[in-house]
Amino acid sequence: MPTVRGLPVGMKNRAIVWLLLAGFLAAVFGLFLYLRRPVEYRSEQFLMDTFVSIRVYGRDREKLREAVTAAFTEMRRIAELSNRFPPTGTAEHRTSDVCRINDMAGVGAVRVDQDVFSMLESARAFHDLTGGAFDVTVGPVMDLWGFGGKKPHVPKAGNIQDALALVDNARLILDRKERTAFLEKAGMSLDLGAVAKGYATERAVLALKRSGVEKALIDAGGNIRVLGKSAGNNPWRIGIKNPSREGDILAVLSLEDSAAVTSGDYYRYFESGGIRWHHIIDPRTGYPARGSRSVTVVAKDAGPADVLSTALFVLGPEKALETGKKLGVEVIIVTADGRLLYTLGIRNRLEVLDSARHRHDQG
Amino acid sequence: MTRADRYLIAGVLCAALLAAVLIVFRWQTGSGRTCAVIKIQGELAGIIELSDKRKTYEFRGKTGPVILEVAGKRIRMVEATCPDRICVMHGWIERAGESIVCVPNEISISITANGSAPLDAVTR
Amino acid sequence: MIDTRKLVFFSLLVAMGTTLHVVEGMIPNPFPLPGVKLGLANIVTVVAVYFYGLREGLAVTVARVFLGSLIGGMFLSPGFLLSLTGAVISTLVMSLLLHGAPGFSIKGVSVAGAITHNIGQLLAASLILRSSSIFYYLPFLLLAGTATGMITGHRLSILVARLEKTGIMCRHEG
Repeated sequence: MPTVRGLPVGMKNRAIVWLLLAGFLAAVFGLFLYLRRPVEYRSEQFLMDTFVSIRVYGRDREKLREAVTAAFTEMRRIAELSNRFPPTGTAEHRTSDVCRINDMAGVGAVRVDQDVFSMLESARAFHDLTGGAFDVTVGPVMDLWGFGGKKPHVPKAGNIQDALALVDNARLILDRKERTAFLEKAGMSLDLGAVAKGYATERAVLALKRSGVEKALIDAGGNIRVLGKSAGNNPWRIGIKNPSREGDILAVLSLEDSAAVTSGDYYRYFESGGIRWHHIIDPRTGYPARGSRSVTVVAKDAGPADVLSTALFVLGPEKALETGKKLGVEVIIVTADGRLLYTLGIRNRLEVLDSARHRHDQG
Repeated sequence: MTRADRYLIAGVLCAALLAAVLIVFRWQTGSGRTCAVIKIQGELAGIIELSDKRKTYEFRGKTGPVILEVAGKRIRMVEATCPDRICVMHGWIERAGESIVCVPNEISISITANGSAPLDAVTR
Repeated sequence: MIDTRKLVFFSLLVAMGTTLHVVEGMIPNPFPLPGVKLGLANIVTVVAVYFYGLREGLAVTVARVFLGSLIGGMFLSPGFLLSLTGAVISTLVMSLLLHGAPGFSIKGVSVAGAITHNIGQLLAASLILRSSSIFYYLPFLLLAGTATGMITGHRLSILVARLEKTGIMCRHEG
């Protein structure tokens, strides 16, 4: 048998063939992995008077795009149904269930969309659970202060008292069988500002899940909802702003499949007479709630997180921690006197960056 | 030793070098804060900011309690109940991409690359 | 008709493999890396694959990992899973090289076996920990594997040559 360097020629060729085959397979495999590598898809839209950004991770860019489109469609739908600001006579006004309910205040019941009804029922539940600290019928008072408009100002005490008479959750009649809502007294009006964003965000996440997305982050003007983990298979890192210092991050949350919503006195307010008047009105007094500067609620569902962030802000720090614990959500509070409080359950996922002043609730 | 053997060894050494280069590439002594991510049995057990202050943390691994120590922006495993204590012998780690792993306890300590994007979003 | 000679030799291999596995496990690991072993137990695997083929090699490997872990007290522990994964993968690769790629000598096969053993262990560990951070150890393990592979490979080539010379065994043709 002919040999080359001691090896039969035939066998040497076989070795080369083997190596080439292995190399080829490795290349094919590598190409396959490359085509299926994780991709990110981002998209933003202006909705509900704020900037909504959705970020998803997956392997098929086209499918991701479709999922995000579906999610935004859902959010837009909820936004249109719950918007109370379009002027009378416009098309937006006619399609908004909230506008229709407000128009028919004192007149009659209005049949509404299933999602709107769910929001109203949820709002009622939280009104009862928080002893009235949350009330969607606070519309007349909000209008007085003018936060939605161009010139917010401190209303006269007498006007506030009059408006408060129109704030009464018990007079929002909900009929489950007919799916109608009725504001009993003329002049009453609903404001779903603290409900709709969270609800819409949760619906968006459902749309993403239905489309097979497993990793996503929705940022609806500061309402954060994360699905799964981030691209590197780590929990999402969500910062909590320091109410006192511009741009400073106080703490970082590490979240998976959760929502984090913050209500604070530092992004919608005006100053008058040396006092800061912010937009989170206590429906029981008609004035901005004091005691907390920011309240962040972490929960599994963005809907309750949104509602509770407002409700617990109104309740003030101590009651907020207590109520949050009772309702099974985690709460992080920056009080008016600069303390950082949080419920025990969030301790493992909260990294306080400015460790100078804090104390945590042992609850 | 045949020629193919030599190629193999050369190839492995190159691969080792390449892997080392890639890993070093992922190391960033980022400005700002580095954090160590602690995972136990696959679940996130904690995130520890590597500060200058000396602090110890206790976690429960699969075979028993383990103690981590943070000091001078570094972290190490001080005590572990695993038989080999390889994790303890590893000593300090401080750069993004470095890890300490304790397989019997199913604990992994890894330092996240914090230079570029420490936060995914801010709730406000 | 059972080949008695094969049965006896096979049992010897399993017994030796198990012993080596247990003894290896008792040697303290000087490096801060998980899974650095001398790879002595691999020797019996290579012998089995060389003289009998892949099936027997796998049988010897699995047997020595199981028995070795039972005796060593590590049965069903994560370390056992790592060992098993690494050993099986490395057996497959070594068999492929021994019978399918004749360009490699025993030394090369041993090196390949050692590094694939380590890589297999890393893969298993990353699955258990559900984290890819363990691949941080890869460069070191590749180097360590090359070194231990060369050492055992050298001994193996002498061993195999001696065994062939006695005429008791002859190389299995892939």
